[in-house]
Amino acid sequence: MACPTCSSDNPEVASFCYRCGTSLRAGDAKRTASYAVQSAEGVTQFALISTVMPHTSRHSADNYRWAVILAGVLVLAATALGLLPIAIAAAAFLVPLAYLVYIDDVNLWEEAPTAVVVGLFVATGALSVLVSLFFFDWVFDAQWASFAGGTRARGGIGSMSFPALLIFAVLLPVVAEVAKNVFAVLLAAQPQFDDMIDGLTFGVAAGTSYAAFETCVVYSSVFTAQDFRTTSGIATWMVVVVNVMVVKSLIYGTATGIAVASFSGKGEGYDGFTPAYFANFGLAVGANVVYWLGVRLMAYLPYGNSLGLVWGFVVLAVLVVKVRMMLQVALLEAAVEAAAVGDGSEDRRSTFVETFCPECENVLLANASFCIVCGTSVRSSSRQARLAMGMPPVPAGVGAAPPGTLALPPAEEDAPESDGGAGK
Amino acid sequence: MTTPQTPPQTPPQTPPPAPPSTRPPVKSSEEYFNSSRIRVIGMITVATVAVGALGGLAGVVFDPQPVPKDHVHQPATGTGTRLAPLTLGGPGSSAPHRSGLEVPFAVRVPSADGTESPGPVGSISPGADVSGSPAPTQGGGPAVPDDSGKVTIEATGVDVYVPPGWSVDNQNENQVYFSNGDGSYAFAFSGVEDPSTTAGDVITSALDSLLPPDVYTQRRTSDVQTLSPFGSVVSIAAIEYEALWVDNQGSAPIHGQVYVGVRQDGTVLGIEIEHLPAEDFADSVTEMYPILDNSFGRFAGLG
Repeated sequence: MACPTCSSDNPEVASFCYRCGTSLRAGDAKRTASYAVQSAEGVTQFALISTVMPHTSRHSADNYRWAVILAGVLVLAATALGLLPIAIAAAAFLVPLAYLVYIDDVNLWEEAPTAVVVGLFVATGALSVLVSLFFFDWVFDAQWASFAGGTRARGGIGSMSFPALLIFAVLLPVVAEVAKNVFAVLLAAQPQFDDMIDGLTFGVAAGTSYAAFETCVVYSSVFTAQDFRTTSGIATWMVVVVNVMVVKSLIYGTATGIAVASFSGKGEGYDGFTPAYFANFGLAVGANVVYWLGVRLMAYLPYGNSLGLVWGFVVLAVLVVKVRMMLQVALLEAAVEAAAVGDGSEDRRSTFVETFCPECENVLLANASFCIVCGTSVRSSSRQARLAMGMPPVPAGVGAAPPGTLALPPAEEDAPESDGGAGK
Repeated sequence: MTTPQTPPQTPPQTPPPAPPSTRPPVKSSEEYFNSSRIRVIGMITVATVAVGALGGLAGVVFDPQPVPKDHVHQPATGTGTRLAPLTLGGPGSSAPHRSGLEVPFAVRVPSADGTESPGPVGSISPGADVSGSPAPTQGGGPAVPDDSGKVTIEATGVDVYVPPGWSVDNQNENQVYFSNGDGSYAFAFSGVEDPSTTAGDVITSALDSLLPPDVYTQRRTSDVQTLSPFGSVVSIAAIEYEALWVDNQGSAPIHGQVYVGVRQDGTVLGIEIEHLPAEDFADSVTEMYPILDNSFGRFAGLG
């Protein structure tokens, strides 16, 4: 059966083209119902784990889901007990910590020292502390005091300082986004990390790291308060903790992920500072501005903190859908273009030996970029899985089968290890 | 780039064969990841708990010097007298006894959460037409202080002094709220109560409305301190507080004082002054004490 998009011949049983991922089922030519990163989900589905952790499989995503739920419950329990220093610190770092475990789990740093990725967290966190201290303590402390105190509803919206609003809801997000991008872009420019999914991963890592350290600065008063434990305002603190633990962290992460992913681009090599990058950088800044403006203005309404939390979820949902649509288009278009050009560039992104799909565990054809059964992109597999697929290491093309030729399974003694220790 | 609409120029690919693999099938997709389910859940949970413990340690280690609580001021003396230091108690320790008011003043004091402000029940000013209470001016925007720097609270006709450089942010029939844009805030409210009511009772019963615990968390208050009456003021008292203000964007320690005076005709004037961050309160009082002196002086008929 010939693919209507790239003309590749596929087995008659194929539901998706093994090279370009086009759905071969009637009526779904544009493949809107099946997300290329995790085929069991729709493209526009609000699924957090598979969006920010695209190298997970459906099975492994559950591990993170349960881990975050369990740790989140512990954080909320600490909040309910009024143990604010514990709750705020743990809430701030829950998502970044889960992300570090994820990067280790999918072996993302296989070709690079662990210190490089950990360094991304630390360096971005250090920038976050500097920027936050600059804005909240060193230079604009008076405006911050006025801005923060004025939100107490008694003052009404009339007490809102417009210059302070510009500083903290517009200028700060711009500066912060630059800080979030700096080290993530440096990593995404490395040849072994030039895939769009890698760019997204580094962006999310940097964004969540920035959020965690900023939270520590703006809520530093809980660490220096006279009382270690509070018994009043628990409901307010619960809302605040959920906000910093989930909403703020993931808004920062996904927004920066979008920007850095567009820096990486969809094909071979990284695209760099293209108009698309600056457009998505602007989108990331805009998302942060919209988020903070909404939170600030809603603080004047009844149940303002809760409304701000809901508003944050709305912004997050938009960003999540944007990420998914972006990756979907990138994965499919890059595969189509590679197949069309036929220059062998897809070899680095496809399987070398016949192996098994991490998602559905059906057979992946040799030289496949997509599973013909579930349609999952090989590029969204963990690096561990990609080693098992016989994908050549950087530089691209080493050991890859020439395009259009049959790939033979490697000799048994040459076959990459598929156990948990491969690549480590 | 867009998806090519035409078939590629390269010849059709050879159909991939499906030769029997020499590799054993994976047992499950878990083999494609470094960590097992238990390990992932364990690592994330343990790491989160560890960071929380570090936060707890920081909460113990970083214990700041308490902000002095000796700023309570005797209004309208013109001397800036500071009274004896107050002892701060824990949350709620400020209530010496329950007021015996039939209608607690708390329901008349405009809530600190302006969104829950009660109706104009406090507008029963002497001589006013109770049945036709004027509408709050909130919708029309805050008033502008006149040349002498005063704003009048409509319900009782009490004047409140607004220092130069301060602006009125919000006002309605019973209250006026103003700030200096530099972290200092003042909130004045007025109503009419039984002349036998003491200022301390008013503070005690209105405290949760003035300092709502959901925003002023970790609230610590001093005991209510009775000050010396003057002019037509028959009862005046004050309380000092410190709290941790919080919302979705951050938190900050806040420090302030509440003064309430009751005139012999039953008119009540309350003024709350506060500043954040708390540690700068001492530096800000020189700018805020004139609010107390001028407002209570005029309230007592001395100004």
